[in-house]
Amino acid sequence: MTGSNDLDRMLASYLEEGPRHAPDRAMDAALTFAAAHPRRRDPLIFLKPDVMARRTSMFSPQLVWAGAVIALTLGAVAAIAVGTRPSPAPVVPPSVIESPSPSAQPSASPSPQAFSVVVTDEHESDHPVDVIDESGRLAAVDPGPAYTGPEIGDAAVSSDPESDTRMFVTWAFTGCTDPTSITIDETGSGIVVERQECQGDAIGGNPHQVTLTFDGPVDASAVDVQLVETPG
Amino acid sequence: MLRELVERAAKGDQEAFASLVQVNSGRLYAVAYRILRDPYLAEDALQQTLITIWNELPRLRDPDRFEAWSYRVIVRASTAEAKRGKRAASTLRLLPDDADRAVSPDEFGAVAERDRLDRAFKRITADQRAVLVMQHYLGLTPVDMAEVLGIPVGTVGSRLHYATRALRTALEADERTTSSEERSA
Repeated sequence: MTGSNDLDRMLASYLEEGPRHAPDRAMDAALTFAAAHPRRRDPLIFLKPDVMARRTSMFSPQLVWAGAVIALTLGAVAAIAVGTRPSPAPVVPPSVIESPSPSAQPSASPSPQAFSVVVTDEHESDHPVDVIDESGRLAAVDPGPAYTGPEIGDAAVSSDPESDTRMFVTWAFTGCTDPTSITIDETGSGIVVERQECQGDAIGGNPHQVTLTFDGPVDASAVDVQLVETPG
Repeated sequence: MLRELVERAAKGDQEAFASLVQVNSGRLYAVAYRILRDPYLAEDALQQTLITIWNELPRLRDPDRFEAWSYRVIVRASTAEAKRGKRAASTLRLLPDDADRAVSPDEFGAVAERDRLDRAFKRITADQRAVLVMQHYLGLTPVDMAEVLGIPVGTVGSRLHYATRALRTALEADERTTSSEERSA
């Protein structure tokens, strides 16, 4: 059995082997490509996203610019349309028609319910998780079962093959302290897993998982799950 | 110096781009080779990376992030090459000139250990090899790796955990195979 330090040492030594100089052929090919494709000035470059942007934010400068351009264009078109339209005919107030039966009042949106569970990881460490249900359909939350599937990037939902009212929410463990919160939106089709951003050099562990039990059948494939990291 | 080259190359200066290629190709090829363990695939990944850099450089807003971005491009090109699986993994290992001299038991053990690690390393995925190369060869911290890969730091921690575990599992499987072969011999 190879210890952790032994493996690190072996790996560092193994990776030291190998070339450090690039073959001329690849460099020449790239320079030939550049010469054959001279760059022209792109007036819309400021609208294109930064190549180092982690992900497109709702408020990225590019989207704000694009939104402003679209809004201005629509505004101008609307102003032209209003300015050229003939004056409207006098408006006749509509007669009031009584409804034959009282219409049903819209049901009040359900008030969010909160659940708290503690997920225990493979090292017997406890991690509290808050689950906020805005759909009013969540009946219970249980920690686990331990996740044994393939590697997951951020977060995922999956059906429980043993019950159509249950689904699993799984998220990658950062190695930093939780708590994590899970919010189910009003429609029940969107789940946001939120955790604090991990700033340290901690190494993660197996993904964490909870089981959500609903008051009726649920389809995990129709649920959109997102992992959001908030500044610590 | 590097910043100035990046800014000039971003504006289309071919001479500046040629200098960037000269200065950076060695470190980028070294990373690609260590992820792919194949000189031909690494060469293809480097060529693709340099072309991407030429095409996309104007979209790099902060020239000071060029190094991190270039690592991101080479890692992506390398994992893409690995997935394409061109020129299947077999590579010919050249023996050193003094291969026929007597080898001490210690040296023999070290070579056997290195070969075992080589086999195990090739068995894990290119994504997993990439994070191990970034950590153990480039010496990047998880925060730096997160910037290079464009993923949360927590996800980097998770990938490192899985990569190390996969490598350890591959090493153990190799050890079992070797032991059973020795017993049956």
